[in-house]
Amino acid sequence: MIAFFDCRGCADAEGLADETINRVIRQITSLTSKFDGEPARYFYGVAHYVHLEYLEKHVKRDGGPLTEAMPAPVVSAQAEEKELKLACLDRCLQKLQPDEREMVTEYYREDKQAKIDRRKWLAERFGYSVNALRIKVHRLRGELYGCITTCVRRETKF
Amino acid sequence: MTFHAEEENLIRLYLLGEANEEERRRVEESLLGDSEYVERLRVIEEELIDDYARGAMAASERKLFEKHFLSTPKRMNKLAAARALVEFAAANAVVNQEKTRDKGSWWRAMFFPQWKIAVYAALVLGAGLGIWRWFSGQSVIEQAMTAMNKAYQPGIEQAMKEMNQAYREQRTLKSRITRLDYAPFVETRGEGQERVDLTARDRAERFLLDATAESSNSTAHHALGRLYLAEKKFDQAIAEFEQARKLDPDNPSLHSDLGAALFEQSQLEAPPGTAGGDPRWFNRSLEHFNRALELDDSLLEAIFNRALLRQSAGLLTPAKDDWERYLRQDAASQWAEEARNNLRLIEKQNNRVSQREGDLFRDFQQAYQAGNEQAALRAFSRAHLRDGNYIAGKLIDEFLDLTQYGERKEAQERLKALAFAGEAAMRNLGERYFADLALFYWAAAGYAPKLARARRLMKSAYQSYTETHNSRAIESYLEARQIFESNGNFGEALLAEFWIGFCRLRQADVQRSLPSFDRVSARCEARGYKWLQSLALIGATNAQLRLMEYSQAVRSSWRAYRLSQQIADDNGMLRSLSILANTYRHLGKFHDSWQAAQQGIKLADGASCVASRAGWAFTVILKAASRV
Repeated sequence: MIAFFDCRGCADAEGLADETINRVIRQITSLTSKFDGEPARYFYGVAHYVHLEYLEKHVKRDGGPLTEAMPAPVVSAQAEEKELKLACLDRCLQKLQPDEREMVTEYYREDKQAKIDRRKWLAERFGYSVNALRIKVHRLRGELYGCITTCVRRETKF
Repeated sequence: MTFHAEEENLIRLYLLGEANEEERRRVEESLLGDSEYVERLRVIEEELIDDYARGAMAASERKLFEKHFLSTPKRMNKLAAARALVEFAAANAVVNQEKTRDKGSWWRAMFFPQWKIAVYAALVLGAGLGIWRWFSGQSVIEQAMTAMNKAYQPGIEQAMKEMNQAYREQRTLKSRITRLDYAPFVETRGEGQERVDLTARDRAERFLLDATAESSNSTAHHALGRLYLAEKKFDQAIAEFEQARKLDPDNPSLHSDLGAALFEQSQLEAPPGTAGGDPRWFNRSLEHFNRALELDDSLLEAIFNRALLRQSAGLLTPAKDDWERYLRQDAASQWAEEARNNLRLIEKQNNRVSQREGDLFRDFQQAYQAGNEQAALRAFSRAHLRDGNYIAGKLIDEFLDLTQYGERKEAQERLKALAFAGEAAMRNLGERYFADLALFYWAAAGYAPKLARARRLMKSAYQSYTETHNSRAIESYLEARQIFESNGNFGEALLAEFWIGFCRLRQADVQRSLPSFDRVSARCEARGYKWLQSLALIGATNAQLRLMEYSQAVRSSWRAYRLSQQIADDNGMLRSLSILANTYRHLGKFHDSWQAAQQGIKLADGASCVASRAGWAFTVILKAASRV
């Protein structure tokens, strides 16, 4: 459900997911006897309305166009912040196993090879199927992302 | 997990805001119902971000990406992370060499150049000669030992006679010591009140000290260990038994007595809050009893002591098995009478617990049918146990069984009852666990067989835990957790994780158990699962005590108590008060210990039978506190 709100571009995906679940729970006793369809459909309906309310609230609060409709902001970083992120990335990469570290850095190394060929090459190199490699890199990314976020937060506390 | 090209393409269109209404709905419904689909989407999302970060995206896609995708701080952070990775990888280009994994390289290093082989051969020959000499020499030593044993046997035999004389009126320990005859065990309040023939005891000690000084053989050390054990000098007893064991490692009586010493030691030290004492002592003690019975399965002392050990740890089923086994071999002695008394205690306890739970379920049903929310909630709150809520568990199991048998209407009735309880608990007590469970089972009826299997695994894991087969328990809990997680049942997955931590604690693996408890506690706090959070905090308390982090342990147990209080969980409150009382006593804060114990006794008196199991523990604590 968090992914649902994430994909709809909501900043507070976790909060909205919670709200959806709370609303369904409040109806659960009547749902068990009256609702006969796929539960996922019911959740979808409630989540959709929660999203609409969220959009409406943003328009009322921001008094203008929705954040989602605004042009994408330029992703810029101050030099210091960038340095910090790189330093944290370095530290977090050291926490990975050596072959995992190598896998991630090889995956992101600039290369003229076509993406599909490159994935195949990497998969063979590390003894994975292409799909398994994609998932493995995705999970390693997740770990790194969490580690970098914690590291940056820790370093920027006063 | 596999990626189908068509599905991948659809997800990509969706993420770039190019999916039509029908396609969008399809993707979003899949997101809500399929955790694997979510992961697939996340993988493709990241690959889009990577392509953008590398500048490898087509111009048209780039515009869509910037317009539809980069709309939340979270996604912008992900893009920043991807850019950092690309930059890092470029700056630290890994030399793309094939790593030669020459499997033979260590082999070649060992045996080349060839002169090394000659050296190894010489060493092996030399070692072989040495061993042969040692064995042939050993037989000479063994002969000497046998002669010395014979010379000192009368002394040791005399010592055993004196010991039996010393302890003929009363024995000082609940456990049995080999070669000591029956004497009743009487719990005494302090030293100097035991009826021991001190003269006979001193004579025994003199004989044994002479014997160990002159011959230092296994029999002498074993006998001296028995004396120290009877005198409750556990450290010295264990030292003598270990010395004896080096010389005679396969002596079943020795293992039995060593197990008894470890057991009694654990009772004395009684690490706060844990029935059965410190799990490290418990495990070692059990190992020795088991070893004794492997060597001699009819050794009565070992069976008797193992039953006591298990009963003290609350492992009633295996304790019962041991008592019954004992009585099959000895039905007539005074020891047998003690065995029968212990068996009666266990049976009484078991009967009371199942009667209690049956009553609670009946009360709940009546209240639910009458629409009496408060009465239903009262019964429900009193049904919280360590491995779940009895009423919720029964409803879920029946729901799953009925669903699998196609009895949809009946199944729905069970779910309605669970939802009623869950909603009432959420609204009145702020406890969300059971409401979430009801919601989950309503949505996941299609996965009934898998979930039923997971719940069976949880039960069998708990059974293994009660029988101290902790490794087996962990395996089952891990499998159950995996099924729950993959089906989105995070509540019961957390419960499995808590139990994995608890089994590890039993294995004295504090380093792994404490992070589990902390993790479970944090996630429960985020979700409003108070009952489970309280359990996790008690687990953490136990672990903190092992690490001697006493202040932290006191804080954790008070947090657990407050949570249990909020949800009117009597058993939870008693657990917390019990561990608190013991912790304070351990810290020498007898007044605080007394107060916690008093509170517990009041609660136990007012509550029903599982709670009153703790009543005796508080009585013991009060006795200890009153000494001061």
